[in-house]
Amino acid sequence: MTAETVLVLGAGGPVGRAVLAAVRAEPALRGIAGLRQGAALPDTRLADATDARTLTAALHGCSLAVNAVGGGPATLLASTRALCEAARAAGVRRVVHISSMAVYGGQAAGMVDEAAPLASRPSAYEAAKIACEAEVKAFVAAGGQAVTLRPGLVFGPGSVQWAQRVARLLRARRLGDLGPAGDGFCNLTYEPDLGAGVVAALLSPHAAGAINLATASPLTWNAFLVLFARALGATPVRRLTARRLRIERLCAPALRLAGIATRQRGPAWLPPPVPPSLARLFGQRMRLDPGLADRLLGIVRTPDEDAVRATAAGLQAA
Amino acid sequence: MILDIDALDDGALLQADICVAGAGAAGIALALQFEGTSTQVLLLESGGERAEAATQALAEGELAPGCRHPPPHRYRPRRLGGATTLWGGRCMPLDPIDFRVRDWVPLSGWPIGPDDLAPYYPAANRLCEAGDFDYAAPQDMPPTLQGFVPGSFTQSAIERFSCPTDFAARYRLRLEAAANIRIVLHATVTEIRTRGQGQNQGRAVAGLGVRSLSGRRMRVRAQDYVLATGGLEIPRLLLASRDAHPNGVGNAHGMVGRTYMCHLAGTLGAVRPAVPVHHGYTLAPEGTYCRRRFALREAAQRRLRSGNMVARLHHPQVTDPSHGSGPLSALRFAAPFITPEYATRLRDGPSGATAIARHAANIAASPLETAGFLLHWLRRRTLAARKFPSIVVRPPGGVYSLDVHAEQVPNLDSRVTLAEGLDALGLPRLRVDWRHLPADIDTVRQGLRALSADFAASGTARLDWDEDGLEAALLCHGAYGGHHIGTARMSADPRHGVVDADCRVHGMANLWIAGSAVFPTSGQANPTLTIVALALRLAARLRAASRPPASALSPGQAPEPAMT
Repeated sequence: MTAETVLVLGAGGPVGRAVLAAVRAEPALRGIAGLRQGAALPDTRLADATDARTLTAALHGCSLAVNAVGGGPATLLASTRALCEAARAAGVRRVVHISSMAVYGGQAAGMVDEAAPLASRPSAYEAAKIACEAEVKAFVAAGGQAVTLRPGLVFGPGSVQWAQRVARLLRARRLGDLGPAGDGFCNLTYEPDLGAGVVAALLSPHAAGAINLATASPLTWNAFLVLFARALGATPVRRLTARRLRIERLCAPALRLAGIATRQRGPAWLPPPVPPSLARLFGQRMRLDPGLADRLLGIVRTPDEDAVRATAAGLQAA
Repeated sequence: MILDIDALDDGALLQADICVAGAGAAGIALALQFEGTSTQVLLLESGGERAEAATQALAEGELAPGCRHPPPHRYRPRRLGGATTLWGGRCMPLDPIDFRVRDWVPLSGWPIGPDDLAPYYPAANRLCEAGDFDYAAPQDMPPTLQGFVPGSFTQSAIERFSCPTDFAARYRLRLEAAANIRIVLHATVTEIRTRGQGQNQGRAVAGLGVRSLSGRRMRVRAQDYVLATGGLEIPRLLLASRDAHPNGVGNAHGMVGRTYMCHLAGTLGAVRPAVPVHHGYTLAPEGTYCRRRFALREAAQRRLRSGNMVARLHHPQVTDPSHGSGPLSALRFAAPFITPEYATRLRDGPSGATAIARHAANIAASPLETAGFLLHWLRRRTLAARKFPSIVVRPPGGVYSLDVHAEQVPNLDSRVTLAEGLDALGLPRLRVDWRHLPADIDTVRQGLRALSADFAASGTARLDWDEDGLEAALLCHGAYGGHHIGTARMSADPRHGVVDADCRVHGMANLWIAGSAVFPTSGQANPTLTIVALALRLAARLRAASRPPASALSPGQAPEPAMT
């Protein structure tokens, strides 16, 4: 059997790398890395993901494509729009679009399945993710095949946001046991599980529409942070007061501005902020319903505890 | 959601699947187990979100002549969170022997064993925020006495400390957000109304009568009712509810309010270590404070035919300036600012001008140590979310005392009954007649002898104590405050207790009790962790029972629960 060729867009990012690794480990697939820049290595194609014309060329010979492009709202929307257009032009059989649980918004609570309403007052990032999904829907309405995966927080050693940043904050004792502020659910999607989900979405004839991809019984943020801190050796874990969390929120804008101002010089010493959006997430009592993924994709998920330990070990080794 | 009774119409009928009276450790832990389910839970709390003198006065009662027990309204905060707004946070599970029948302890033996409670302790530990459910000292925890060889006692057992977690502050957001949990504040349950016909008359709860100090009256109808109002208020309500039970609900055999136990505790003796000492706290990796203690082992209890007991190295008596410690003398001056429940031991002893001057001299002699202590206290206790559990001071002379905490054996004559007077809502007040037996003192006597022998055998310390003055030392502050145990005890045989092994009131189809009132024996452990574990077990029992939704109940017809 000839392996189907898959172009993984955004393969330079942490999500894309994880997806590409999973695709390349699947004998039925041949994974091509879609990169914005870099060396023209074998099984690599360089393309501007926001430009449909160059994307169409990059998709030549690919029957499948994965959208794992990261970035700001404008980039997300432009790349999704371009991919849908290019996929139509290049005759791609199926697109797997990696969306996010962010489409449900910060107000969602309880068990959330794919039929739940999307964010009614979305942030810019959430709005972009929702608009991207609309582009994919339009692609399907026009005759294309697509699966939209909605992972939780993509977590693994490569995750800058949810592993590296959080690890830094835990080591600095700026995060820890958050008490009442940390009772929200931490919907993790471990990088290899996302990869497995993408592979299943590419290959399963029944996969279609939007599918949540997250752990069945998520840890609370408190439990996750304590577990992660212990795995990192950032112990004893500190219990943070509400006062301390308020100070973090107050300092966040200044830290963010300082981070932007100094980004060009690339200093690693500047402490990351704990922005209000993150603080809200810590308290959000939303759980992604993984039932549809179980039925359509049938992947075996890594227990959160194992994912956290493996991620900590990966960070320690790096 | 959380609402005040004044937001409801006077005379309203409140319906739910489960009604829980009392929003303390047990009530909140139990309600949280139904969070996000289809079960409608109504949690009634007599108090509000803050301490209120008029509400607290509802708990006032009387003491029997000579009864050495705190006033009944002490240690029982009537407010959201209950006694967790006051507790010190010490956690440990009961020991296996605490569940056993011991032929030398009358009325001993639980109808459940440690294995029945074991599945619920880890979750209880999490709710109490006491870290891992592991009560064995880790290898890297320094020993209390280096070189101590276990004999009758072991120093391998630890106690863990909650933040201490105020369940109201900690879980308020979750309770408020839960659509299926309604908390009604200032709603005092004043009556249990029963129903049933023929031989089943009075064998099920038909509803609760609820009143408020603002004059509101409500009725509550549910399928199951849980009393979680503490070891004093539970018997009070049972005894006062006499529509079909002349002696009170669940009191067919006169057991409600009997076998009232606290713990015996005291600071006594002089320990002179001959080896390095670590009597302070260790932070576990997850951030909880832990400490070793000397625990009387099961084999020794059997050999000595004693109750259970623990001891910890402690600083000398604060009020006696001869300790020479600046930090302890500073505490003496801080006594007026400490809540009465915790200031008892700071108010006895020498108090004249000479003593005051000597305390001042202690502080003057060690200003840096005193300032360091106060700074540590400010940072690690006052301003910290996870609070340093207690005062740890190394005595200047190297002479420690022993802080002991011991089991009280069940005694039918130690009891609470109804007094003549009524409270502001018309409920009879409580009369407390707490008593101790010679066996209680003997547990400590035997234990101290054995500990002294262990110290001597291992050459680690010398323990001197006044055996003749032991009873006076243990009883100088009376019953240990806040541990109200055994007043609705669990028993397989209805003649010997009030609730069955599932915590259901004997002979009642839908009335359950959560709290230390159901403990048949007290063990040595502080009760909160086991209270929460039992509440979780009860919640599992209630969750397993299928029930029609509360919305399907018509006002006059609560479903008939199965009789057992």
